[in-house]
Amino acid sequence: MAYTPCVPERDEGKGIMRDAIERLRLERKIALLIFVVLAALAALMNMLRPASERVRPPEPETPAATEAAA
Amino acid sequence: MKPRLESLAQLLLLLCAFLAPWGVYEQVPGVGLPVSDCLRLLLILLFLAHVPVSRTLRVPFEFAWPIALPAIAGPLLYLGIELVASREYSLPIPMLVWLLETSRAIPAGLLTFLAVVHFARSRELIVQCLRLWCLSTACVAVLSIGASLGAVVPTAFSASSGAVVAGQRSLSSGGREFVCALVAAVYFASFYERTLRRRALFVACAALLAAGLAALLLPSVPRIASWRLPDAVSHTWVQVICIGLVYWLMARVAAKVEVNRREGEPGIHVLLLILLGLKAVAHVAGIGRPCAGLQLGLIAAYALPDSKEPSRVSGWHRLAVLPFLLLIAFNIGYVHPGIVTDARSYAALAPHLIYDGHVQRVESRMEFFAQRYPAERQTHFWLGHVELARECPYRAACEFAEAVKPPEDLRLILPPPTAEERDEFLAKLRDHCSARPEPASCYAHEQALLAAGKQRQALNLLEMRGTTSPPRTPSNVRQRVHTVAAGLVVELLRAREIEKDLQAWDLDRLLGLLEVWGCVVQRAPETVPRRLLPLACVARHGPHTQEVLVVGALGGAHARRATSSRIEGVSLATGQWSGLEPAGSGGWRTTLSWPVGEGETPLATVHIDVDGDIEVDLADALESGDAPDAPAVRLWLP
Repeated sequence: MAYTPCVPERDEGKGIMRDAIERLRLERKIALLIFVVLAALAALMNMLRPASERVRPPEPETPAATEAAA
Repeated sequence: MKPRLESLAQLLLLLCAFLAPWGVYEQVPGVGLPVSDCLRLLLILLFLAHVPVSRTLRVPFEFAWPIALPAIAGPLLYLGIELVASREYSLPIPMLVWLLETSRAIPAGLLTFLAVVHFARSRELIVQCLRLWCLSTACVAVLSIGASLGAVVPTAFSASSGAVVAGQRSLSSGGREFVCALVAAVYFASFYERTLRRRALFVACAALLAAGLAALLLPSVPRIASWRLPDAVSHTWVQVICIGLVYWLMARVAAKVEVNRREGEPGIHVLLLILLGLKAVAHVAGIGRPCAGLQLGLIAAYALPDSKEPSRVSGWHRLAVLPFLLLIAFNIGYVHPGIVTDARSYAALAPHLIYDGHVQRVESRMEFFAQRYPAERQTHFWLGHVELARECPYRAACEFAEAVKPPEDLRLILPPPTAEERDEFLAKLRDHCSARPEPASCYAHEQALLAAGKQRQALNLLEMRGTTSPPRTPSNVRQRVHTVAAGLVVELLRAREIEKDLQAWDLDRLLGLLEVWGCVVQRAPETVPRRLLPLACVARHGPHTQEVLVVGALGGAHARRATSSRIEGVSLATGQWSGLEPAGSGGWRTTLSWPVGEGETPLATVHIDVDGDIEVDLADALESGDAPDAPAVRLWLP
């Protein structure tokens, strides 16, 4: 029986690592997309929401308003 | 020790999932501390103990850094800013205060997330958790349906629309839980469960959740047009960074689940993505937190590659749910009066709200409970405080009289006001009446004293207040006039029990008392037959009623009309009865006019025919106008 050296056609360890890196890259890409959409939506909705009375700054008192009140 | 710790932690996860939708019902009775918070703390402690013992942290780096960054850098940064700003290099007390204040929110949620991801290594356990959460949310939905039918006291409600929910602390959180659990139940029934029995179980769950959601949303349907997004809240830059990190964490978890789904792994990936999406949308719309530590942790753990171990929670371990079921059953029936986080304890916040000037809020809350539970006494007691804050002593005395009535139903939500609380109210009412421009003319304090059973005290005050009026009636009709005047005082004070005491009073003293109270006492026109006299007309307005009372020598009449809603506007002015005028049919009439809008509108007309028959017409002009607080009284003498 002829001797046939056991030479793997493909380095399995490196392949697994490469798959894992590919997977991580894909995950990161999807996560970034979701994050951007989420953050943009949150910013947009926060702009659309009416300002709370608690955070609304008090209106400055003008001399005209004071005179009118008097 | 390690396997035991792990199985205990997994049992805690199951219990947390079971308790998640119960909200108010899972609080320690009398303390108000949620049991699930204690379990989460235990889980975090187990996590902190397990990591050094096992020398492994099963949380991947991409999940750990968004938590480690704010946990380490946040306090350090805050400390640095504080030190630079204050230039006082001393003990960082503000930082400790900040940490304590936020300890229930972000750090606790993130630590729970870490602990859950660390321990929930079994997909079987995660599915068990989701199933249990779905089932217990369906039970909460049943209670919510009961609450909308009036069988269960709601734990959150909208006084304006009448929407209610049981268990949850707010309507929005109830709606969110029901929607998420409905999606999960439909998914389990349609795509995941293999046996017919389980499918049937989740179909039933879905039906209950849909019914609970409908019961929650239907009362709000007419108000959809006026719905608006919740008010924007300004965030500090620290909060913005924290929210950004949580968004990134959610996005990372969602991406991991999505990649698993694309690779064709069997499981509930689609369901997890939908749940994450719902949570994210709710937060973006401002009606929810970003994502709770427990749920996000379970979803993240499901997506990890090493989460395929079998569950360590065996069948008999699930019996641990039983004591919590007993606690929930107890809390459904029991309301501790002092827990401010429990909306059923409606009077707990009332003194603070009134002190801060939120009278309208207290009124709508009390009115909501008063309509659903008419036997409640505390609602009327606090409505009395509301009326007093609005400077309406007569309406306050009316509400107080309702509050001190002996309870007809023994199953009250809150106990009736105590003797100390009643005395405190009476003292407040007395001070209010004394501070009026004409203190003697206000008899609301005496009215409240009589309602509280303090008859002797009330009579002493009446005797002190009454002045003797000059004699105006012929001696042959004095007895008749005395009877009518005493009856009038009794009706005004709403106290039949002092009728005998008043019989001993002199007529001129009685008339003097009525005049001091602002009643118009005068001779009737000569054309009015003497046998009809004396005649007294009283018009008074309660929070829900318009009432006209006629007391005469030949008998009386009483007309009462309930308004469709509480009369909110109150005027401090008093209405006036017109003089007796001849009516077309040969009788006489008098009219009570009240300014409504720009003109004067008759509120009530009393017709007296020649035979002495009395007819009262009550107008509905007060449905949208202001009502006088003080009664309008006129007495015609022979």
